[in-house]
Amino acid sequence: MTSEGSERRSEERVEPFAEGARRQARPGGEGGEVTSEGSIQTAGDTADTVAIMGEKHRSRWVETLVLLVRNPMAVASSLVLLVLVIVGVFGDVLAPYGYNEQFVGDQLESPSGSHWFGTDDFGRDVFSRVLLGAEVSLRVGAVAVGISLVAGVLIGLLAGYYGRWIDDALMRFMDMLFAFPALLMAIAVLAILGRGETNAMVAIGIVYTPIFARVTRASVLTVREEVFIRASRASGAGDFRIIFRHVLPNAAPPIIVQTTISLAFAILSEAALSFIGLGTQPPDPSWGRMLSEGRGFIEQAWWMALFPGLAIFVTVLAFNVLGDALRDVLDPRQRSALSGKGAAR
Amino acid sequence: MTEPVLSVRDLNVGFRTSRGLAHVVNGISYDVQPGETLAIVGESGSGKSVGTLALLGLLPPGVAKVSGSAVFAGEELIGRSEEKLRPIRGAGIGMVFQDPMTSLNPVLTVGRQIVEAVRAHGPMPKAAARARAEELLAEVGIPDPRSRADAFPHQLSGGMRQRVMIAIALAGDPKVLIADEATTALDVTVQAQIIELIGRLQSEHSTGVIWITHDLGVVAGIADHVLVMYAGRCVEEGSVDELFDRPVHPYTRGLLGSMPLVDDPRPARERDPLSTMPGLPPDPVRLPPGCSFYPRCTIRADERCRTEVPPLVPIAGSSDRHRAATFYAPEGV
Repeated sequence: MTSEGSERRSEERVEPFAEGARRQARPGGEGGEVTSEGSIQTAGDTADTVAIMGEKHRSRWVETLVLLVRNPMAVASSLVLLVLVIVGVFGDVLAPYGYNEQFVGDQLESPSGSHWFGTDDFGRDVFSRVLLGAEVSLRVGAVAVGISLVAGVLIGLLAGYYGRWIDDALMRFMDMLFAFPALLMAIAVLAILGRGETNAMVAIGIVYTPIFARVTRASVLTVREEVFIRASRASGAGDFRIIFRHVLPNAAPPIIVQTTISLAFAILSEAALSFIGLGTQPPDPSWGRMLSEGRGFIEQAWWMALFPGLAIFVTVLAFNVLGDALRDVLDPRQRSALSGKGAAR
Repeated sequence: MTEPVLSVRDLNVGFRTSRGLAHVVNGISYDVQPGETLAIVGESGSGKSVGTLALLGLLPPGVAKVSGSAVFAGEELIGRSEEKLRPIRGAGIGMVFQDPMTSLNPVLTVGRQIVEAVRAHGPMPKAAARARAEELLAEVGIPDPRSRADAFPHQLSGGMRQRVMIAIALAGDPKVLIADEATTALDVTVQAQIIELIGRLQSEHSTGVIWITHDLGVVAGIADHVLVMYAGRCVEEGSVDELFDRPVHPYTRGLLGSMPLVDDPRPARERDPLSTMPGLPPDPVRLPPGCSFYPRCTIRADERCRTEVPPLVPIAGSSDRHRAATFYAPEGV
């Protein structure tokens, strides 16, 4: 790696470690900054008092919100998700027609003034069904991911923190679940629980648990070795406090990203389960179901698959963008870079 | 002499490895008096940190094998359960670690971390704990503690963070403070400030301090009693004057010889070149049968050096706290 490359990296991470690296990487350039940093180190610790003094410390959550609002992508994705939630809650008010209202003779109509997204093979309004499907898809996504998030993170924390036989037992069990193809696993669970939307959520939740467990455990393994974990044990903190106060917040960024990705996959899984008749039961609308149904008519009526597909796409994209922004904002080191303060700047 | 606050006897620590048991600490004994500073010196891997982590049960339980005795305030520490050790951690024995960059949790404000340490030992209302945290920050010399408490660790310089670490260690008002290479990662000026700070707090609270370091300059400045470790054994101990003026063990002499003298009266070009000790410490899995320093020793005074572990015995003509583990008896020390 060239010295310039390493310098850029150190600047991006904006860690105090970068001070040394920067000083080494460019002894000649940035003279002013080097001396100012040098004087921070030597002239007692008063010099960088200036850096954060005179500015009120807002509460952590207020600051998180402020930073989030400053990021246009985060604002855009939040707005999209807000609209989706509103649609999910008030879908039956907003939809121009009922989800199962059939216009005989108007089957497979292309988009028009009266049917914005066209009609399907039963003559039902696709626009209304997309609006009403938002509720199902969002609920299934949120509940299923909620289940796998809680279960997976707990398992990953225990396995990663305690290690040894606890790790072996939990993770081998997770491997076992992971060995099944996701859909097959969900089908097996539904075969036991019975079909239906609620059970589909549980099944999807179980299927995605091992991923969360693995991501969490991997993250915990690196955090566990940090000196501050040992330091907090040395100051008398108990396991519970260490796990939830020190380990989890530091292990969170990959989990947050995994959550947003999994929301997308959960919506798609629900679609797949509904397609084979185990999830949402017809005639209830769900985006996944509609996408699957539309597939058969893609040559005659592209709108049947396109609009629910677009809805899934937009939702998934919004979750991912928001997740990315959240991860940046929740990491205090990144946060300093975003708000342009802190010793390293 | 007063009653020692911490008394360690024949402490052994082994690590189970794939090649067998690694003998990292072998039969270390020492006492810490209230208000006294005990310096433990030795090179990397000599077991000086591991020996103190073992006291608080901070070594990985499945891997480390600890035996011996360590009595703190009348209570045996070795072999205690995790729950029974917790009240002693922080409140009885506090610890400051080497690297202030990594020993603070990056996602919590320093105030929160001190509050946590304060509340780890008994319930206390949040506001009171917060006030105590600010008090501690002021005590360790951090200006404007109220607003500093809301800073994240990365917003502070290295010296500041080490002060915060000391504040956390003091939160439980410990009787013994273990400073594990506490100044190694800091530059010299800040190092001097931290040493002074710990010295001041020590005399105010009459805390016993175990100062782990490989910096003999620091030792000369702060220690009352010094323990020199090599390959997990104590090779020599004594008061700081005895040890620096009349080192006996070839290893101690080598260490002191490898240090430049600031007050050497001769001009630079006439001084003796700094000596080095060739070789590496022995493999802890396969310690030599005799003196562990034998492979690197240039003196090898006695046949027994190779076959027998020399016992730690008092040095003739010194106080009885000056002891060395060597068969070599230099003339005129």
